[in-house]
Amino acid sequence: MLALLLLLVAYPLLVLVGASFGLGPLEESAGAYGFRYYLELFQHVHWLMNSLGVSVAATLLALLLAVVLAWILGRTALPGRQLLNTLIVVPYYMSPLVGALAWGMLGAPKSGFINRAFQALTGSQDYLINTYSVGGMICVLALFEMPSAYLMISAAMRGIDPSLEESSLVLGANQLTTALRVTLPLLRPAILGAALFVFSSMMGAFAVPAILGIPIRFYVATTAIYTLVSTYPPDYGLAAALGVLVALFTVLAVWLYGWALGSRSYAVIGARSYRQRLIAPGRWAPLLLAACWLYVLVGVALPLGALAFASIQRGNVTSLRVSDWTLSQYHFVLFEQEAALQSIKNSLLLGVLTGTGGVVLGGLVAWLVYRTRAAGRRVLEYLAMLPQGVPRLIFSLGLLWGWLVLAGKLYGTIWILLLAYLTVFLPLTVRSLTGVVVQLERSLEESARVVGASWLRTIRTITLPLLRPGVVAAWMLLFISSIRDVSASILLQSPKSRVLGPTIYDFWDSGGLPLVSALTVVQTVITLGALLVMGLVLRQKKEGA
Amino acid sequence: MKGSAPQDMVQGFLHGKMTRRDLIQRLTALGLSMPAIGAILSVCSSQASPALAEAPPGADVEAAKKEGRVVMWHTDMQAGVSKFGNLFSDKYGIKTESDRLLPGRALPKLEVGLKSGTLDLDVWWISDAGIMYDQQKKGRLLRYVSPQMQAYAAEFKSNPEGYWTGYLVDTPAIMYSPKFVKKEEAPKTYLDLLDPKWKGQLGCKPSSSGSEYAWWYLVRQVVPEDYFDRLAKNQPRPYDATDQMMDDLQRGEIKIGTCVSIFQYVVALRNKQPVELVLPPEGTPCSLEVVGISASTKRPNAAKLFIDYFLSQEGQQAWTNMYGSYSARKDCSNKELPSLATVKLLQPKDMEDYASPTRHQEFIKVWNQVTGFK
Repeated sequence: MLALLLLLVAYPLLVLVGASFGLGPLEESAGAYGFRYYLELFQHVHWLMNSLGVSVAATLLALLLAVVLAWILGRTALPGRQLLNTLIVVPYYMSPLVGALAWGMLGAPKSGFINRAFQALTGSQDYLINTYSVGGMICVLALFEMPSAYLMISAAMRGIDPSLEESSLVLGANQLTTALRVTLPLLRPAILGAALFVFSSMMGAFAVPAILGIPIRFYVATTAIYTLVSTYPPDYGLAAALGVLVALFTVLAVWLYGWALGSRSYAVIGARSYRQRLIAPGRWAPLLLAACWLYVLVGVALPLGALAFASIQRGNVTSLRVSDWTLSQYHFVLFEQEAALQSIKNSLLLGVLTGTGGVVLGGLVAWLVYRTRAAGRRVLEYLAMLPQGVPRLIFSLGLLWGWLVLAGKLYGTIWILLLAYLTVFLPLTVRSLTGVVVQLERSLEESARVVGASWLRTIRTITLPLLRPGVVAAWMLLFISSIRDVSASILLQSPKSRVLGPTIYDFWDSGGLPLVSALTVVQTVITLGALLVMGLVLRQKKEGA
Repeated sequence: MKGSAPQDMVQGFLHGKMTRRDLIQRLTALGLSMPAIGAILSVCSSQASPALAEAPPGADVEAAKKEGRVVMWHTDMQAGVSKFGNLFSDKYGIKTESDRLLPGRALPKLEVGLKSGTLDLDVWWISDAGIMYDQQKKGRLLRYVSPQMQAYAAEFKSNPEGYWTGYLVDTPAIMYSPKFVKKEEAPKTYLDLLDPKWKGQLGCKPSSSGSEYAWWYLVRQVVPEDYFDRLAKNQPRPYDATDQMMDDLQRGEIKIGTCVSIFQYVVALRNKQPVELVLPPEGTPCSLEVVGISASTKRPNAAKLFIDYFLSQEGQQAWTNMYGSYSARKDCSNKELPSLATVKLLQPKDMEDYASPTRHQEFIKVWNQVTGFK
C-alpha cells in the first residue's frame, strides 16, 4: 500500500517539487536548480494569505452550518426530515462553478436579482448583498462545501449510542447541555475530520475565486496558479513553488488533526443494536424548520432558479418578457453540441469508477492507519492527505508530467483522468471513512476472532455492515466529486476524453451566460437523476436483505 | 502611366497583385478623398473574384473522407466553432472535434503530446499570430498552400505562405452601453480611459489573452510611455473572455469595455441590446486570428480540406455571419460593421519582435500590474 501511494501521490509531487526548484523549462530536463521561485514568492505572499484567510473563515462557517443542521435533522423529530436530508446535500452535487455563476447573478451589486428586488421594494439605491466581495466568496464557498461536512458529521452522529445522551438527560442536563457536553465531544473526530477536509477543499478551491474574485482583483493561490500557467510563456516554476507551499499547510493540518485526537478513545459503536433517540422539537419546531428551509432556499432553490432563468434568455441581460425567452440553448446542448454529450457520458462512467476504486483504496488506508499497528502508518496517512492540500490544478500538472514519463499512452484518455481522480480524492475517502472507523469498538472484532472467525470473515460479517453507512456516504461523495470537478480535469482532458467540469468552464469562458446556464442545469438534472436511481437501488437492496 | 487609373488599380487588387495598403496609398496619391476610397474598397470587398470564389479544394476530397475526422484546437467561442464544424461535416461527411485552449494551456499540451507521441491535433486556430510564427520556425506546422489563399493579402499570411493564414481580423474596440454612460461623457481616445471617473469601471482581459497582448503591443505605439502605469491606477477589472465583459457591461457592473472583440458589437445589436462602439482616432489594434495545420497531423488530407473550406468564400462568409467579425478574406464583408477600409489599423511591423517570448514576458509584467495580479 505504501508503494502504491508513493507512486500515485509522492511521485507527481516530486515532479512538482523538482519543477519548483528547476530553472529550466518544465518540458526539458532542468540543467540548473535554485531557490529563485521561492524567493520570488515573497513578493506575492498575499496570494497565500488571501487563501488562508478565505479558507479559515469559510471552513468555520461551513462547520457551524453542518453541525447545526446535522443535529437538527439527526436528533430531532422534525417533520419532513427525510426530504430535508436529501435537499441539504444538493448543493454539493452541483459544480462549484454553478454556485459561483448563480450567486454572481443573484448578488451582483448593481444587477443582481436580489438587489434589484430589494431596490424595487424599498426604493433604495443601495445594494443588500454583494457576492463580488471577499465576504461573498466566503459565504458561497461555505454554502457549497457545507454538505460534505454535513455528510461526514451526520454519518458519525448516527453511529452514536443514544444511551449516552439519555444518561445525561436522566442526570438532569437539558437538551442543549447534553448536545454541547455529550454529543459534540463524541463527534469530535468527525468534526475535526470534516474541518480538515473542508479547509483543504477551500485552499484548493478554484471556481468560486475565479468567478467572484478575479473581477474584483482578489487573487488566491489557485487563481494565481491558473493565471501563471495560462500565460505565454507560462511560469511553471513559480506555480509549482506556490503549490508546494500550499501543500505544506495541509501537512500541518494533518498533524494538527492527529494531535487533536490524541490517544482518547471515541469508541461508541457497540455490539447492541439500538433505536435513535429523537427529540420532540415542540415550540422550537418552526424555528428549526425555518433554519433548514432557509439553507435549502439559499443553497438550492435560488441558485438553480437563477440558472434556469438565465438559461432561457436570448442574450446576456435577463428579461421578464416572455418574447425574450427561448429553449434554443437546451436544444443546442442536447442535440447539436457533441462536446456536451460526450462529457456527460464520460463523467458518469468516471464517477462510478472513481467511487468504487476510491472506497477500496481509501478504506484500506483508513483501516491500516487507525486499526492496525503497522509500521509507517502515519506516513501512509500523510501521503493520503497530501493531494487535498495541493491545488488540483497544479497537482494535475505534476500528474501530467509524471505519468508522461511512466506511461505516455495514458495521456489524452479517460484513464489518466481516473488516475487523477483516485489520487486527488483519496483524502476525501480517507477522512470520510476515518470518522466512522475510529468509532468502531475493537472488542467487536476481537470477539469474532476469539470464537474462531478468520480476519476476512470478521471484516465481511462484522466490520463492513457496521461501516456501511459511512462507506455508502463515501462512495456517493466520490461519485459527486468526480462529476463536479473542474480543476483536476482541466489540464488533463482532451477532445476524446471530455468531462463536464472543464466543458462547463469552457462554455462560461466563451459561450455566454445562457448557454453555460443551460449546460449546468442539464448537468444538475442528470446528476440528481443518477443519485435518485442509486438511492432507489440501495433502498431496494436494504428492503430485500 | 499604364495601370495608374483607379479601375486598373482595383483590378490589380482583386487579382492579388496589390495589397490593400498599396491600393489605399495609390488611390490617395491620385487625390481621391477618404470617403471615395472607402466606397471603392467596400465595392472591392463585396465583389468576389470569380476565379477565387469558385476555386476547387486543393486537398484530395476522397482521401479526406476516408480519414473521417478533423481534430482542432482553437481560441474562439466553443459554441461557434462547434456550429461551424457541423457545417463542414454536413458538406463533406467528415466529423470535427474541437477544444478551446488559450495559448498558455495549449502549449504544455502540445509539448506533452509531441514528447509522448500522442499528440492528436490536425488544425490549430489561435488568436496570437506570434505563436504560430514561432511554431513555424520550430518546424511544427505543415505547409499547405490552399488555392483559397490567393484571396488573402500578404500581410495576413505566413512567409512563405501556407504555414498559417489569418482568417479573422479582430479590431478590439472600446464599447459602452448608452443605458449607463452618456455619449458626451464616453471616452473617445485611449487617454480618456485614464480619467479617474472610470476607476473600477473599466473591463479588460488578463495577461493570458492573446488579443490583449496584441492590444498592448500595438496601442503602446500611440500612447505616452507612462500610459499603462496610469491605467493601472484606474484598477481595470480582468475578464477571461469578452462574453463575460459584455455581460457586466450590459448589466451596469462596469461602464467601459476597453478591449472588446469587435464581434461583440454585432452580437449585442442582434440581441437588440444597447451598445456603442468607439474606434479611437489614434488607431485600432489589428489582432489577427490565424489557422494552420499541425506537422504531426494524422489526417493530413482532412486537415487540408478543412483549411480549403475554412478559407473559402463560403466558409468565411458562414463564419462571418455566425461570428459577427471581420474576415481577412478580400471578398467577404460584414455589413453589420463599419467598413474595415475606414478603420485606421495598427499592425505589428516586426514579426520577430512581436512573436518573441521576451516581448511576451514584458507584456505579462506590465499587464499583471494593470490587472492587480502582482
